[in-house]
Amino acid sequence: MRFIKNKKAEGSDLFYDNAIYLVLLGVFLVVMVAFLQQQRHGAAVWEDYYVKAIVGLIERSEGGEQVTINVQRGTEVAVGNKMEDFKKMFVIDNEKNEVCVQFSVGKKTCMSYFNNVEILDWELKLGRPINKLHFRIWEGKNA
Amino acid sequence: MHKRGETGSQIMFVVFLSLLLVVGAGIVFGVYMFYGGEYEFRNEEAGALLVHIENCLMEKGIPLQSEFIKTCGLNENYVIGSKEEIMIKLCEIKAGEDCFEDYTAGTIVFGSNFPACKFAGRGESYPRCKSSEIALGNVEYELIVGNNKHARRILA
Repeated sequence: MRFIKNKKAEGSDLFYDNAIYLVLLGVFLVVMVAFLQQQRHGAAVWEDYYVKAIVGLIERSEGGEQVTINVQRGTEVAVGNKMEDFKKMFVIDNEKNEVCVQFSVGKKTCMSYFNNVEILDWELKLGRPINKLHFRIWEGKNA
Repeated sequence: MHKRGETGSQIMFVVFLSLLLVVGAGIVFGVYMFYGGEYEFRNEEAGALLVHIENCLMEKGIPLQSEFIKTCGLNENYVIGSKEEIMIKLCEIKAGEDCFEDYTAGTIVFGSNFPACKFAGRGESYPRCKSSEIALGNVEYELIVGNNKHARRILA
């Protein structure tokens, strides 16, 4: 008759029985965190943010303003999405009164502004020490 | 023989997997709802347009409907070409008339769906509107600006 339990065997049995669940849980957590990080740093989110920030500044202007915007985060997202041409990241169309921002290859986000102003000296300056977008707002279009 | 009742363990594995799938689907849905929606900008833009038009009317008086866009330095395509996304209405304040509801009121009118302004909090598809009262000469006017414009994500 055997009354002595093999406790060591029971402990290791318990571990091996549940190891698969722990592995599945670990994989699940890694996948969820990776997905969340991808959404947070997605191009669409940042394009939407920057295009509206720029349009908001233009719409509130009265003419004659010189604007400088810190776009470091946006350019980092764009470079992370394999965008190599910095000139395509921030584009102004004075004919259509529209700003377009592109942080990924293939799609861009555009928005028009209501005031009939001319945007001059539109330039993305890299480094020094962060990337900045410069432009000048001129009311001369109304003349 | 040491039988461990393996069928029960296998069933629990399926249950655990199903649980992970349900939780994962919930997380994915929640993240898409949060990050998928755009940055809400319509209120700010309506406010900026309201101030712009107020300043224009104060400085230049009330232009004719046909000259309003040019006089106030607005982008014609933005106002007229926007297919009811932008609404502008200037009404003289009169007893018994509601500038939002009354289709016949309005010295200057662009757009028509002004009653929808009152449903702004009830759904994403309703426009966001701003209004103010301004006095021009001896007459009181109500100015309404509605904005349902969104940023467009298009092919580059």
